Amino acid sequence: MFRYFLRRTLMTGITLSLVGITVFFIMRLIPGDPASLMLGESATDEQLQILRGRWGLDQPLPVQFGYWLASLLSGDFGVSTRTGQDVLPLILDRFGVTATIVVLAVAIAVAIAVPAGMIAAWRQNSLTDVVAISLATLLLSIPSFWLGLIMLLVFGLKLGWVPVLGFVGFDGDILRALSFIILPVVTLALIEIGVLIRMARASTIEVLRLEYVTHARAKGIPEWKVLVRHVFPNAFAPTLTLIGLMLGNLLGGIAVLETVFTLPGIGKLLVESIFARDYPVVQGCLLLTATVFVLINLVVDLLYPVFDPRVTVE
Amino acid sequence: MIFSFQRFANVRSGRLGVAFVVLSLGIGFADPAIAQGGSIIRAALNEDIRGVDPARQSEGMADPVHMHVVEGLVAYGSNLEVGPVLAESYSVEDGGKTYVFKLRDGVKFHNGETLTSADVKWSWDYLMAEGSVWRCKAVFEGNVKVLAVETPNPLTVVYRLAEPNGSFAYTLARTDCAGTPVFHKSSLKADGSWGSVIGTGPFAAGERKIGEYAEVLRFADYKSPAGEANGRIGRKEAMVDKIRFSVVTDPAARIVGLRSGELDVSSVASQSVDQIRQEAALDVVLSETTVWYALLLNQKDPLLQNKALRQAIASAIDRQAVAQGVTYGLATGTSTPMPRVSRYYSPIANEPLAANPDRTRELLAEAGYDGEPITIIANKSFQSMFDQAIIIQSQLQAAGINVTIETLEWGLQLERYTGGKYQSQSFSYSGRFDPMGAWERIIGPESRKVWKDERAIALLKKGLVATDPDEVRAISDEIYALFIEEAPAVSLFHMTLANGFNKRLEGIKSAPFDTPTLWNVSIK
Repeated sequence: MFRYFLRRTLMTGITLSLVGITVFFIMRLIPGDPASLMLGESATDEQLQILRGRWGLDQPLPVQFGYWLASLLSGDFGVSTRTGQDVLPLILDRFGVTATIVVLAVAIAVAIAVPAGMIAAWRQNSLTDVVAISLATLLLSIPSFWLGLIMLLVFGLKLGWVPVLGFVGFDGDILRALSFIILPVVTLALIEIGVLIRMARASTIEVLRLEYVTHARAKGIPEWKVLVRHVFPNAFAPTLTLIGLMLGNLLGGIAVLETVFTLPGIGKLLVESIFARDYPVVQGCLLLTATVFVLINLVVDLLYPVFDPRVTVE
Repeated sequence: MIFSFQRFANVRSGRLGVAFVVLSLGIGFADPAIAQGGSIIRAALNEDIRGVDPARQSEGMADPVHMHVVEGLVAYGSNLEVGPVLAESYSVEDGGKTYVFKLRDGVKFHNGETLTSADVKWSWDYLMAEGSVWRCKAVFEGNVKVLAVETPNPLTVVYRLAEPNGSFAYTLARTDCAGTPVFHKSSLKADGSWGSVIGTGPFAAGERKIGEYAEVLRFADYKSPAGEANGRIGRKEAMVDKIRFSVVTDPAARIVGLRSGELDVSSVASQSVDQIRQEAALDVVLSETTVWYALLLNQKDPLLQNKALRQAIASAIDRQAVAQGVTYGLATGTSTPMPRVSRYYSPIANEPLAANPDRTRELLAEAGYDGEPITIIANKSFQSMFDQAIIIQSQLQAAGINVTIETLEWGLQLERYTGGKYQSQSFSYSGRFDPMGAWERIIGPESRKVWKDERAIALLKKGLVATDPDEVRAISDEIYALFIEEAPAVSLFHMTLANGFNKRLEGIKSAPFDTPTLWNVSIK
């Protein structure tokens, strides 16, 4: 286990190095000048040169990369060309907002979808199954921005239960803070419930067909025990992989929902920074999300044997 | 265009690990002259302000917030004429080479200090310092060259120009140059870096959370200019304790915000105007701005070098249809960059707003056009530019001109524009209020300027120097005639902006500026 962990950590380092190099050079291959975008259509050549010089963009690419790498290794992610802020605190702040929404939404989605998918599989082809699978398909088919706007219109505008704009941190009034994130959390959870129900159902059906389940039933073990003790661990393992991928993807940013709900999350920051060619922020965001993605998948891999002992980390 | 808020606190971790960088203007919480809490107007920003240092960064998004906090010597009224703000009056001497500004006595900065001519000069020196990218720096070093700024006494500032210039005061007031802001030297930190803006406006900078909102707080010691309120001049009064500008980038979310009452005022898309007006609690104010939409025709392009072809393109476009189509009936077509609200606007007789198919056919034949493709660059970041490209494409194709649209990301389109590397572009220009600004946007030898004609450049220079309004108008008319003849671009329309607002607000007025002013606005 320890050797496996070390090996994966080493691979994580290599992956992140590759991500860093790729992101750095691909960003600079994208046409568009950050100085022009900052100064607009009336910029003079002299002003453009001043800004490029200030940001080091007038240096050859290898030199720029060297500076960036040296700063990165000393923990300095640079300064945003768009806002003048230090990149690391900026992206950590924004990541905190996105992580709050995503973790809550995925937790809710898992709590609802996994049992629902298992029950649907257990009652395969019954009315319960049809309802569950229809609901899952419907939720999968709804675009997140549309669902978000409908939620805003119904619960924010018509019923007036929650605020429709803004975000309040959890460092003050917790209930008020919750009122701002409840709609994005529920919206995201609903979207992810659709995916998870289908996954949980499919893997449960597969496990229910295995001989050891029939054997357990033949032994007279109560049905709930069969489901919880024998079916769930095996059926949940593939869903766990999916949850890992889902968390990684969502933590990388939920730009559309962040835009609809005016949340200051990392997805919106990344999109805005790409459009503004804010290289330090884009590089920082992508490095952070790649790190999170890799770490989550590492955790999932380490957890896998807990649910499916046939799999060993070695 | 940009101002800064002082870093007030760094990271605060919440129970769930949510943390923010809170930027704030410290004085907002210490000075009793600056109001806290109480009445509040909540306005939407379409994008977050970058808002740091006017000399080191420059962009337009900060303007709605900035104009409430800092002021210049002069500013624009709703008729696009310049009037004094920090100045009591000004005079033009030495045949237009010297401008003398008398400052209003007793004007206070937000830190309690009294405004003097030294502050005006200090701000000027800061904006014009080496390494500054303040938008008007190049202008004041070039077309409107300032040789010296003198302060003979605490309430007098004298600007000495290299040559007589009639547009100096207009240029000082340019909104894209933040109205040549005057701020206190303690806006800088001890190490000379930008700290926080300390201006003289009716509101002082308050708390800012990057990506979320920026607030301005009523400045109780504000000393208003005299005269009737008129655009950005005349009486200015902070009638609420606070204005919060929230960043709401999604247009649908802005409308939901207005309808729910969480926003009091916000720009709305043209197609939403009727919907907003149907709401009992809401209304819309329309403002014809100086933001100009045009189809640029690059005369360096081998095909578009042909004047007859450019004229044919101009003749085939129904400007009125483009304007109405893009703005859902709010805007009117125009054949000149000069905005209707300007006193220098004088349309030529039989202004060619509609397409003229017969004339187009003649011109195409004269040009020897044989269906060669013409590419219009457009983008979807600014939907209006894309929409106008689509309408123009259909009109030109109907006239037998083979047009394709190349949709680029805005950054790339801007790069092509700046380098002059394109055949044709669907484009829009930021608002300009100075008389020659309308023309200066496109005329010049720089690569980004679409019209490099020596005659136009000479006329522009003449117009910038002229001090007599009648002479300025005559020169503008001359440029206009040449513009129609040469067709370096096809003028389409000036954008009419719609701002939705809650009827609980009193005093929201139409103005040709890109954003509404929120002083003199109260809550019923």
